[in-house]
Amino acid sequence: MLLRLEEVRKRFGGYEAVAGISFEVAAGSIHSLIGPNGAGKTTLLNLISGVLPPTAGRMWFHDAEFTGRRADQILAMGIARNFQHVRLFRTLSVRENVLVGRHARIRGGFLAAIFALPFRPTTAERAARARVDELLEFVGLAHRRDTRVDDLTMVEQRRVEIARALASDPALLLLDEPAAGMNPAEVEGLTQLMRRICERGTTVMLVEHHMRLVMAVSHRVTVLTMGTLLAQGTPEEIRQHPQVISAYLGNEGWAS
Amino acid sequence: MLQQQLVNGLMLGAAYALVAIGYSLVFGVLKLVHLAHGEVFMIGAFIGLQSVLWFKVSPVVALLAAAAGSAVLGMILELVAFRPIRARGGHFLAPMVSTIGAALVIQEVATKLFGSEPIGFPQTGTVTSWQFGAVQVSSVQLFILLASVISMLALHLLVAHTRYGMAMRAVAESPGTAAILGINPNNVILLTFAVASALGGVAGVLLGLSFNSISPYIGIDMGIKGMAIMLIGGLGNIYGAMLGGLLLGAVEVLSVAYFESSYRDAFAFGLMIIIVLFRPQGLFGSSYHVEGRA
Amino acid sequence: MSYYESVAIVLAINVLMGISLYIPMAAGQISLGHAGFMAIGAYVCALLASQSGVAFALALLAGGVAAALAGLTVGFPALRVRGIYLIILTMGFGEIVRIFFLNFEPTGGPSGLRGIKPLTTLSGLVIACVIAIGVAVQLRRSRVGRAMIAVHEDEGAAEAMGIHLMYVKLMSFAVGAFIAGVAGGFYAHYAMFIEPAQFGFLRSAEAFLFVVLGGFSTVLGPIVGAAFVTLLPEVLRFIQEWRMTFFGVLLVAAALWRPDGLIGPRRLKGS
Repeated sequence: MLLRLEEVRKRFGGYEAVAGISFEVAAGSIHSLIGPNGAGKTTLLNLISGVLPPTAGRMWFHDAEFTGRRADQILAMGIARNFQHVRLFRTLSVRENVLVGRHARIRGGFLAAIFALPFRPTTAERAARARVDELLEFVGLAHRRDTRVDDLTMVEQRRVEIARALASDPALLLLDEPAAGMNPAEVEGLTQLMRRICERGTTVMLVEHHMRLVMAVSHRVTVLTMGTLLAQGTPEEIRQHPQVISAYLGNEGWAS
Repeated sequence: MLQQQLVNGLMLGAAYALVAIGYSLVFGVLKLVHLAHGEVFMIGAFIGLQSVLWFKVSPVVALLAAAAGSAVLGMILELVAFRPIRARGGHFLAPMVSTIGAALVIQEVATKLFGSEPIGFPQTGTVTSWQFGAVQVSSVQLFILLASVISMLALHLLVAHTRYGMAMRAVAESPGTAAILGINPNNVILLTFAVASALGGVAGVLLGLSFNSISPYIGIDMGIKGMAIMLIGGLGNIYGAMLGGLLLGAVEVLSVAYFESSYRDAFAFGLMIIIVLFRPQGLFGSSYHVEGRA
Repeated sequence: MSYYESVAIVLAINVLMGISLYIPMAAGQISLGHAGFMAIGAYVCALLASQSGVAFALALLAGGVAAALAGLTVGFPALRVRGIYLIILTMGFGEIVRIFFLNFEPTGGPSGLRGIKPLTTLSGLVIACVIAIGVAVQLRRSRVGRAMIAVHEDEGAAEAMGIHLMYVKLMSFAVGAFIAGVAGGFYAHYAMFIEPAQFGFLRSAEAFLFVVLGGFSTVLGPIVGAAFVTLLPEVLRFIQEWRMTFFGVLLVAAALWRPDGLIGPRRLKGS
């Protein structure tokens, strides 16, 4: 198992957003996390990525416990993420944003930067740029490399965020509602992208509301409600799970 | 002996509290630090001085004159140095630049008018002392204490029990919402500046009486110290500022009595650093504004 | 020393101070206490070069290192706060340094140090400025420079990208403090006499003004800001008595006219 959570909890004052969640994510899969609004999905992503510390519980990655580590340490371990509300660095170009994503895989701190030869990027820097260009190619934005982030469409910005997350060569990619606001053609593009990401060896954990996408792309689905685990299984199993249907999908189930 | 020092410290602290309250009031409604507030304090001291020297008025009248004059100066500062820049939007540092400029202008003008050397604050009337058990209190000290307490009480009444005070708190909480409810934030901000500056001016006179001399350069020193007190008490919290001021007054006086007197001024900042390290939101603040991450 | 040489030296020292503040500010660390670092550099350099006969360049570096260590000391509590709290904290630090030197007898207390040798040359300063500008540019183009900007803009996202916030913030403070210390050393051996009063809040505010007025998107900003602040009072010399007043008025006007700084918002550079 790539990722394992055991009785993870998160409390905000009197409110428990995540109330004892345990599950596992297998390597090489696309694993989706679904549930109504307020179920605790994004909070759980925040706990896994280290943006928030858990109130209780434990987490393992590749059998090494990482509970309570900082976000940058977790990134170095191999877990990367995007953000539900795009958080790109607006004063940096597309390429520079993705380069920031590669930060942990390049060496060199302040002193190295100061004493490097002027006018010649270091070997490490050049290799990083090559990798970044490759990633931008992969998400289809190589032609927008030097554009300001603000000049991109929202969908393009989301793809930059995905490229930025991939830049650290993560073993596990956490995606928080990447399909929000996309039209059907764009969702199809995203589906293909996620499949390609998985094929290249990165495990994907997806938080999504877009049911068609979830059912089409996932190997396994976990359903959350009110901070607890409601059901787990293959997309087919979940689709027919009576409690899931009543708690979440309702009669409109497949309209989206 | 200790009680005497504590009483002395509280007297000093009361005046400090008035300055810090001014900062807190402005920060509360504007979320900005009024870097020229120290100069308002200084001008208040000089207004008091000039009233006594030239018009031979009683200390109470001098205080009122200082309060009024400082209030006017404060309102001018708001209209000239803050409001137009708020209207322009832009970087949040721009208002800081303009208040530094305003402070510079005020200090320079004061130097031209009054010279750069310290001037003695005259004693008015006879100075008597009273004995309360082990503690001796002079009439000057009593005056300072009374004036400070009355000012703080008046402020509390204004903020907690009047419509204006409620309007101030509404604007501090959320200017947009306050506007929708029919409160004009600009007027409230102007009023806040007037009140804050009046308190600062009063503090100027009181501290002038306390230290017996003033110069155009006391603005900067008190200014930074006032900001430190504000941070110790919790930004935007006027009651925190009051207590912070009292605490600092006590600490300073005790430090002079029992340790190296020359490091006295550093205690404000030492205390501030300790607070920043262990409780950044101050003694009474909420952690809302702090959010630092290591 | 001619008048023009004198002005050029003061300008160069101010440029160094501007860059010294620009670097931490690029990572979002605002400091209104940089005069403290300058003071430490000035005193250490003066003690070494004038009183102990150490080579000037070495003394300058020593002053810078001493200031950098102070920068780390301030940097740690600074990690816990941001925004206005950070500003007040750094102001307090500046005051503590000033008060310390006011009381420290071995460096002359309130009377300061006199008889410092005039070792500062314009050419030496120009070299130092070129190096400082080079450092700033190198940083900007590097991995660390991107990290600083990311931290400035969005700490949470930056950390999630693998950036160690503490390292970036501390080091930008230390590097900035180092440059301020070197500037202090140059200043001491130009003015030939230093006292604590010269390193008060006004000095910190001045450095802050260079950066804010000139804009802090690129290193050109603090340079322009320093030039504006240094040269304008010289040009207005005819106003003599009222130059500082007029200067204050100009600051208010500049803040009103260009709230984003004279250089304006960041122009995007190609990587």
